[in-house]
Amino acid sequence: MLSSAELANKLEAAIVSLESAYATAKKSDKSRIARLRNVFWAQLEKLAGVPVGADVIHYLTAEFSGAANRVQKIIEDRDKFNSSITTAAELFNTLSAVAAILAVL
Amino acid sequence: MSRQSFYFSTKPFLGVFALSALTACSFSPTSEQAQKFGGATALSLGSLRDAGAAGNEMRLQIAIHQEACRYLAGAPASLAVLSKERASPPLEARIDILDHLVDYANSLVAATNPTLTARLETSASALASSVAKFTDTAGEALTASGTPVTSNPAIAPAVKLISSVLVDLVEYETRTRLRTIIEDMHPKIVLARRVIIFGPRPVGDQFEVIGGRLQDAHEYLVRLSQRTKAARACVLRHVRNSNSDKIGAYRLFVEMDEASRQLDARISLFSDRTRLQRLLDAVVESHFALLSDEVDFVQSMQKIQKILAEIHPIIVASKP
Repeated sequence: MLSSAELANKLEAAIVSLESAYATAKKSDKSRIARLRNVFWAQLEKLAGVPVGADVIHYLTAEFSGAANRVQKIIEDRDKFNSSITTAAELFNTLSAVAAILAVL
Repeated sequence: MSRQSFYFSTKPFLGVFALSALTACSFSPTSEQAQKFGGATALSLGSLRDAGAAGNEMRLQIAIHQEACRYLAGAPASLAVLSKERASPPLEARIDILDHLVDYANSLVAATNPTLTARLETSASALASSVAKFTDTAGEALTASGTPVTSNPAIAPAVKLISSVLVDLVEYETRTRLRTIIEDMHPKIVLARRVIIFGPRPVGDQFEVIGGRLQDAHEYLVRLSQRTKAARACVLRHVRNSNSDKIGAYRLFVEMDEASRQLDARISLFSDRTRLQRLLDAVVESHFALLSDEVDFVQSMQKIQKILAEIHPIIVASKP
């Protein structure tokens, strides 16, 4: 089964072919190609999750902004993990120092 | 518990850890791919922004030149008519999409930065060495206090291994989360590419409208160029026919001539629609490449077996 990313690429390729076919088509065929191309375009919008009648530009802008925030959150989570193991290492260093003093005593 | 049963009771747990850690290595968006994606989006944005800026800049220049021409011709100057001509709003909106796409690309580049992984590994290594140091010094302290201590040389490599598995697990989770976002965003990026080049999908059969948006913007720049040339010709006529301030008028003509040449150069850049299309193709292609690696389960399982074989004697040796 195709992933949504692969499907999007295939829809894109189909739209490009139809655009090129439209440019060279006879006048009588143009509207048929146009309708078909609009069907593919609608499928692409559906796959991208664009709500019907939405302002596509506004929608895409918000989506990219949201994705950047999601990626940023992943970076922060990884940083938190790094900081926690650094803290644990410091704790063990402190415990070593205490143990060393105990050894002397 | 016998050694054998201890090993098998921990095997599933270790298996999950090792599987997670190893699959992390076998598929992931790489830093290089993310950088390619970031570079392609930034380049596309620059190209589109340049086209938009050319329109705005030239509109202002023509306004100045036309007013100068009217002044030289002795007619009342009016900028009101010129202000009706505006830059193409869809073009500005499409620049906005790319702007946010560049932000997303930059975040991906930051998230796949290999130095972050290196930092995690360094921290894990520091943890392992500080735990080993603690075990040694605590052992010495207990020996000094008269408590018998059995030294365990397996503790340092065991801690090191566990820390390293933990780092791999975090990396695996990070990359899985990134992969989910990339898969989710790809159809949106493909759609954005269509919208940037052709504008939003027209309703019904208005097919002819599609594909004309960038063409519109190009034609708009060409109209501006024609008007610049007309204004330049006006000044030239004035230089030839008038007796007053010829030097000032000639200087104005030279300035306008230069502006006209610059505008033509910008138009040739902007009219190359295939160039922008190629740039956006590279954006889509490099984003898709972030998903292209596949998991080789057989290889992963072999690696898991290998690591289990390394873990087994350490666990056995660690038993009291």
